[in-house]
Amino acid sequence: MCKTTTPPRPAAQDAIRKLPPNTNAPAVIPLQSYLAKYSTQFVNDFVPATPPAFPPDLPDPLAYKRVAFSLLPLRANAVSPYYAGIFDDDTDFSASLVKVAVLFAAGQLLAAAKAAPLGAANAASFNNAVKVEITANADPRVRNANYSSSPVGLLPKMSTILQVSGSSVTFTPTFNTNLSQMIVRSSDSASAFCINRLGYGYISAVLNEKNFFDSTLTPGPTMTGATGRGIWLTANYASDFLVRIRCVNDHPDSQLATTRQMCRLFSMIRLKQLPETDIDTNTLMQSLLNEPKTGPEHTTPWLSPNRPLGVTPLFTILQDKIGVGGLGAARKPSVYSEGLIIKWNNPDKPSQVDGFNKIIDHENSNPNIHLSGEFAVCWQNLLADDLGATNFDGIIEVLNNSISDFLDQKAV
Amino acid sequence: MAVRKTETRIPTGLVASDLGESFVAADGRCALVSFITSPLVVNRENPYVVFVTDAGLAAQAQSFEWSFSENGGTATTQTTEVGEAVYSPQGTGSLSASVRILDGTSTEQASLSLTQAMVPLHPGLEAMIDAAKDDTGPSVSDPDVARELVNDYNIYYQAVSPPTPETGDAFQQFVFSLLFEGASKRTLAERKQLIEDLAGALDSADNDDFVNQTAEGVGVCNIRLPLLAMMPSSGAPLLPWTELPQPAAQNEYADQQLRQKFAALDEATLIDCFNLARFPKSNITQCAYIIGALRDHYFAGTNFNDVLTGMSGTRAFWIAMHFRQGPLITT
Repeated sequence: MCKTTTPPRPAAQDAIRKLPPNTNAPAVIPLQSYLAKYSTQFVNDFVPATPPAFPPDLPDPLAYKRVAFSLLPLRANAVSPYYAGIFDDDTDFSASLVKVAVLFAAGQLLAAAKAAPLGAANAASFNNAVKVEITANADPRVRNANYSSSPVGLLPKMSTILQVSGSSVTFTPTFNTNLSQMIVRSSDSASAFCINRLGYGYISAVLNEKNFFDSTLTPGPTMTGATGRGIWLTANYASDFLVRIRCVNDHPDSQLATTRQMCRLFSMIRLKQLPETDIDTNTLMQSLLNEPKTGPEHTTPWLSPNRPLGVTPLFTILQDKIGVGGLGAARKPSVYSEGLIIKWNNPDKPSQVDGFNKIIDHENSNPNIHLSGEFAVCWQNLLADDLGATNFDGIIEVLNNSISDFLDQKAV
Repeated sequence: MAVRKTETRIPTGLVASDLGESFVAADGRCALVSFITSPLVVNRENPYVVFVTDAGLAAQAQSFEWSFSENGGTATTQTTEVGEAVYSPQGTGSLSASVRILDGTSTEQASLSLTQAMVPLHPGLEAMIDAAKDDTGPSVSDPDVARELVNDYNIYYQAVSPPTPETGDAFQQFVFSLLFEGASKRTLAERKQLIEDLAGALDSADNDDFVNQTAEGVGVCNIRLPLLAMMPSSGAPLLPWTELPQPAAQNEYADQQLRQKFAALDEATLIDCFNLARFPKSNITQCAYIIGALRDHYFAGTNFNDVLTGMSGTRAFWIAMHFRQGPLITT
């Protein structure tokens, strides 16, 4: 018998195989079309015409033009299939926005401890299980790093994070206070406190477990020669930068995110999906992200109407975390970022969300596919200091117009 | 007409959801299985099958009344003598598919229903097909087959995994290539006809007819039933490992003898093999299992990346040949 052919598997066939499954979304003009339209139309409002001088160690001096957006309309109890993103798979330096990953890791640890059998006799087995989890799931670059001069370990320092009282497990008061200050004030010292205790290994492991980081992908679709895409944290916002990996907008760095994954993280917290089994811990996490934040030194969203804006947001901000930090070894210019949960609130068209829901469910027979009016949003890599006094107007214009037209299903 | 034999039992070791999207009655006496898992695609045909596994209920059942209602609108109804119906969604939204099992006086004995979403054709694939019209390089070679696979079976072939974990997706590529080949070889209508013919032969216990029908591969991957019986995904082999000669005439004769041995197995085994190959979900799962077992038998210790790319793809060629015509004598 002669050899004729191997099974047919040309490139096109493999591209077909890799197509994702069809979604449950009825036919609508995708949000992506509107985001593409308005991120082009308003590009001069969020990309400075004359960029500042960049430090020489940046990989791509034109990366400042890659301002990233992710928008994810939410249903009452689930994400919708209408996600849209621009440069959303670029892994960028995102500064304090990545502190949300610490909040997530802390929540996962508390939930795991609550699910484990209580009692001192079981502490060793729980610690051992966490160690096994880190060995199995943390990125090898984190596992194999040299921690000898780092204040942060590979493993969590359990007794400084968790306390057992009777039949309940909670954060220790000190950890809880620092966790709160890390989010509400975006305090760097409080962040260092939390990260030093959680350990890079645990943070990496849980980010990988929930697919917020993929070690097999390049840092961005247009960047080759390195791997690692998504949310990455191997610095403690103090003096420790243990493992730097390559990213799109900065020199190799340690506080990184894609807007896609950060948007997904916000959405999952908002939808009570993280931690999966612990609603109390989820409530705690949401309470820290809620807006308006209160107390001394609390942060204010970049898109808050309380800031000098030239455009009125057509939404209210329900939850938020901001980020700002300098690029390169020189740490300037600064890039701004933000993760949010917004509630659509267009005073001129109060029933836009209902109108959209009628489009996708005209018989009102399938309420579980209706949009709730909330959107998970993330944007990053904005040179806001070079955009004048109303430096967040471009972002707001993109969000206002993309979402409004999408809900109205206007012709693109 | 009473329930056909082919709808009296779920294959041993499996549950209804291993065959497709399913709804099992609370009392476990019957189950509704949809070939395609939601979402369905507008104007694409989807078969539904009712299994009546309870002997008492099966004895009572005489007909099946189906109703399909889109977005809460007026239902389309049809009555069938056997527990199988086909529906093509007409618009997007929500579909309620239900079936009532009726006795000889048209009294309902049981009912089952599924709610499924209905969506347009896969936009990513349609974009590829459109783009391919002007492409000079590799393109979508058979749009109809691509539409069937991507719209109807995507989550099934995405779920297959090699017998031992390995990096990369070479195994999935290999299985998909055989799936594409199988779907290209015979149209959906031809595959459906063969399944009908096999079900008829099993129901009438027509051994000669059954032997003849099993000369062809069954279902979307074109699985030869004796091969499936040699390599069941669970339990002991139902047929002893039997290698067939390669020369065409000898192969045809040996294959006929093998099919006769297969047809001589007990009826329950034959029905199970038939149903495993009948439903796209289990068909693809079984195809993946057989590919893994053939690799383990002939090229143990070789991962699928090496199977596909090493030795100019010779190992992949031989595994595909064993799958189509064998297992073959290779010495």
